[in-house]
Amino acid sequence: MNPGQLLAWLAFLASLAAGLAWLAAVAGGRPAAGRIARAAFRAQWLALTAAAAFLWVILFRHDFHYQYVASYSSFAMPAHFIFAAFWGGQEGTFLLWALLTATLGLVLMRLRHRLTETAMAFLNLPLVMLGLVSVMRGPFLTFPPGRMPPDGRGLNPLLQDPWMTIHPPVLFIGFASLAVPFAIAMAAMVKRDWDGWVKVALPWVALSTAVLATGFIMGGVWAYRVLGWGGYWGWDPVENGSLIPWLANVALLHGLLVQRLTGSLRRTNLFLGVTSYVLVLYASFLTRSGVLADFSVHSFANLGLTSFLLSFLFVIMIAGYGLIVFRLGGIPKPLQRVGGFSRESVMWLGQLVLLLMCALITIGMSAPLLTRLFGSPSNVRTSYYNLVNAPLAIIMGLLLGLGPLMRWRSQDPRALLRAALPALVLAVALTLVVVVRGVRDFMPAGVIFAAAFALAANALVAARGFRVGWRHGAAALGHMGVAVLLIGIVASSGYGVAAQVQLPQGEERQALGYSLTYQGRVKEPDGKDHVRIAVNSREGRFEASPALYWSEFNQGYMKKPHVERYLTHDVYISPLEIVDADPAVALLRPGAAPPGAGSVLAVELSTKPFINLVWLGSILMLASTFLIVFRRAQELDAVGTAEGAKTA
Amino acid sequence: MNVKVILALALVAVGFAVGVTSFRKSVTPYLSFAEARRTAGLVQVNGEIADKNYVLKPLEQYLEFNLRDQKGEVMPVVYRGVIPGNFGQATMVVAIGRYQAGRFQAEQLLLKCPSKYQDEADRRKAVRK
Repeated sequence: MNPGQLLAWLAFLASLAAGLAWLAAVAGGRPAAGRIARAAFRAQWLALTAAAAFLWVILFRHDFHYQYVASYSSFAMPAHFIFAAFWGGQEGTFLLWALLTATLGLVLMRLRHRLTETAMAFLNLPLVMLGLVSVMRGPFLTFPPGRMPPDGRGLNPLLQDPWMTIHPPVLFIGFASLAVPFAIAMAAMVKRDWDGWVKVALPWVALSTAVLATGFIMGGVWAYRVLGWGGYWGWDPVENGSLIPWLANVALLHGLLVQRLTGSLRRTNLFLGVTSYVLVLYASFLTRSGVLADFSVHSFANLGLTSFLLSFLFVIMIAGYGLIVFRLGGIPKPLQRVGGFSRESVMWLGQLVLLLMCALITIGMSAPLLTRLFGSPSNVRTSYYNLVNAPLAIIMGLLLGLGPLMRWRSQDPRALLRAALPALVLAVALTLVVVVRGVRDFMPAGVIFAAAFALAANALVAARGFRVGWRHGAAALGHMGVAVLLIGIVASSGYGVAAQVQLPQGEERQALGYSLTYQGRVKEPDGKDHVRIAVNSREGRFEASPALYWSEFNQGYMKKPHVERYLTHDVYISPLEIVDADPAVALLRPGAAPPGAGSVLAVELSTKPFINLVWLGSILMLASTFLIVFRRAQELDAVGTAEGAKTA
Repeated sequence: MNVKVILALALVAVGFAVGVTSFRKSVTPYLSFAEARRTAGLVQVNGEIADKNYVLKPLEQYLEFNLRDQKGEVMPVVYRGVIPGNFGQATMVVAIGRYQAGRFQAEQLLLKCPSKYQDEADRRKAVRK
């Protein structure tokens, strides 16, 4: 057995030992069992860390005995991509997921709270599953003797990008972090601690919100600037897979705030705590098992993990929803139910909208599975997601504007109208401006009105809040971010112009008020072929240099767009293909004669109005969520110290 | 029942109504060639390029080829638009469009080229046997 496989086994066995010891500690209440469990959990973390270190060692030593090393790296790759090859394939991502979950577990384990041990028992459950897959199909399987390849296949050039070194780990921290609220909610149900878990879970739920959003926003930037999708979001199953747990998690964050102040929404929050994690596993199943292989260019192929992923999903679903059903009758009714005209009612409706979005997106991404039940498997076009989310975004914007202006428990409607009037006036004014400027459809105009209302209302609340202290302004700042993001999405996706242009080398062509001249191909320092296009327009002249090169690995062209940035819009030039004037020689490949002066370059030219609002909204949202993590962690620290003092 | 619950139920009902109608509007079923010929709406078909006798005119953005499905049936496909650069290497083609006047008029083509993921899956299958 090689050292990597040995470490994977050690981690798996330690996770089993920790799980059993925690069961004994929780059920039997023996302090000795708790000590053993902690020791086993630390041993598991050490084994996982050592396994990860060993994976990097064999990657950097180009040890192609290992199938994983041969599959995802090669001699020619620069160091930072060898580093990133760790998560270049499925097997490595499971190890990363396990290591991150265990690391977060170490942090949770330090909390002195009566729920800690029970929560650790549940946090350990996914680790047993991940440990099992690392042993059975981990990154440390070797070739049979004599079958070692001389060089590795290398990482897919699509993934050979600086974003690859940071984007997947951030996303996996997000996925891993959702195990903590799940574990705490489960512990709350076991211990019948209906309200005590809220304060413990809050910083973790906020952390998941912040990190998952960071992950998919990074993915959006990557898609836009590098992959040349023409946009930042394609409603691909992989993207949806990070969005749906996030939506459920944001609903949970707001539900916990309501419960903390009013004591209501007990059952809803427990349900959401379980559901957020179930959605992570469901998305993993959809994108990693190969069931969508015919429908997405981005899904991984089937590595025989379908049954493993399904059982992982079912174990967590049965444990989570089973416990909820088992405890449902015993959850006491809150003293005060959500109702009446109050902030918590608006937040409750907001939760509902978030969950509707989550459900409809989940149905869309599951379309091939759902339709298979009734006939031929079908997919939905991406227009589905825009159709269903637009009306919900309008309702969301209105609630987002109203909620922060309202009081908890009871709100006088006339006072609310007075408070909301300035924001309403601003929203009407902005909507009139955009309607005059050409936004004539109801849905986009409606989203802009609702978002402008939310933006203005929350700007007022934020201004008041920050004067008192940063704690009081952080949430409104995040709401402003969402509003700005919504306006940016509507403007950049709905109101740009696009055209496909054929550019014969050396000749000027006009499109959309831009004149473009294809000047030729050059090899840039990055070793990739770029095409040079001189662009002349009202905004001035610039030279675009998008990449367009042949990839032996993918047997196809790799393309990277050129994005010329201005304050109010981007000019986006996406190379499509290059052809020789002679139609018989359609394809250009290494070894073939280089294209003569007669070659023609096809590009897609488009504008993205107000795309900077998308980035600005994202930054505001992220800044706010990280401030909230910090705030809730400080509060939890205070609780921990108080509880510690009590037990001491 | 209070106002809040009625409002919430209305919201859920509207949400699902919008969901169902949008779903029906956006769904493109994967069909066999025979079924695609009988269907009026937008559908998806897939298959492999039947022969090398395709007509590819990049400047006019015109592509015409024969697609063969798993049952061995062959159907002519016409596509107007920017032609994907790796068309010649495609092992499988997914075409989204509608059947009109004896030919499949594709609005969108998705090409699957021999990829490493596929190789790898095959290799693993071989190893397991």
